[in-house]
Amino acid sequence: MPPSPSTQSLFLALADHTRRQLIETLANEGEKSATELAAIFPITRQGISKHLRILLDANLVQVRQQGRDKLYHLQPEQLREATAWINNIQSQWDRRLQTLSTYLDKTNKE
Amino acid sequence: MTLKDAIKSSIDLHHPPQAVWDAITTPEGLNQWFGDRVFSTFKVGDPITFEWDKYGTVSGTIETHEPITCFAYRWRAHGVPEETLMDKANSTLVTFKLTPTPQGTQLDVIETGFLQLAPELRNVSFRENSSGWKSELDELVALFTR
Repeated sequence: MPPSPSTQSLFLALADHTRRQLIETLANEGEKSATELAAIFPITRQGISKHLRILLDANLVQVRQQGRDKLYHLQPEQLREATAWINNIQSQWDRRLQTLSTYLDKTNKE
Repeated sequence: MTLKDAIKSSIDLHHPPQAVWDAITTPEGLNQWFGDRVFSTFKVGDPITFEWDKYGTVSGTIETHEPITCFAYRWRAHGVPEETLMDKANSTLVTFKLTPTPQGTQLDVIETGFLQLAPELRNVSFRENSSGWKSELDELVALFTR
């Protein structure tokens, strides 16, 4: 089944190292303005704004006006699909390694 | 919250690195716990093919083969044809690392590159088939207790 358009923009937004780091930062430190983020990251404020626009389009972040600042915060619901997918792969490897362990135990007893 | 491009799975095995190495880098070993049929020369640059009766075929290329310490292959996402040139948008890298321990071997599996995969290749139907893996384990137990 092909992913929905919203899923596509979600994964495209996640397919960039800087944007993943922006998400991590917003997750760990809460709301931030583009200027605050530019102070943390080794890229310009314009670069930060470009990435934030992509994250906004994917519904990964939301923005609100506070005085003269625009503050960005994470929308964690959108990440559920991506994290569930990765967690499935994780548990699949965990099961495979358990199967390997069982196999080694059986063959070495013979 | 975690946002990962990679997964890491580890297990402590009560077996020497050579036994673990043989189980992960020979068709005879892999056929017993991983695929129904696995084909490869296991030489760096050569192809590796995993066949499952229930899920079909997944193919890739050997990237690292350093006996009893490190084995790695890049494989195509499920559904990508065998002839397709691999790149970061259609494949992930699987690395097995073996570390000797007083009890035997610590085996780490690291698979990377998930977030670079093209959206249309994020087919979870193969990946999340936990009942399929459970039944494979049951078959394996049956094989050894026969």
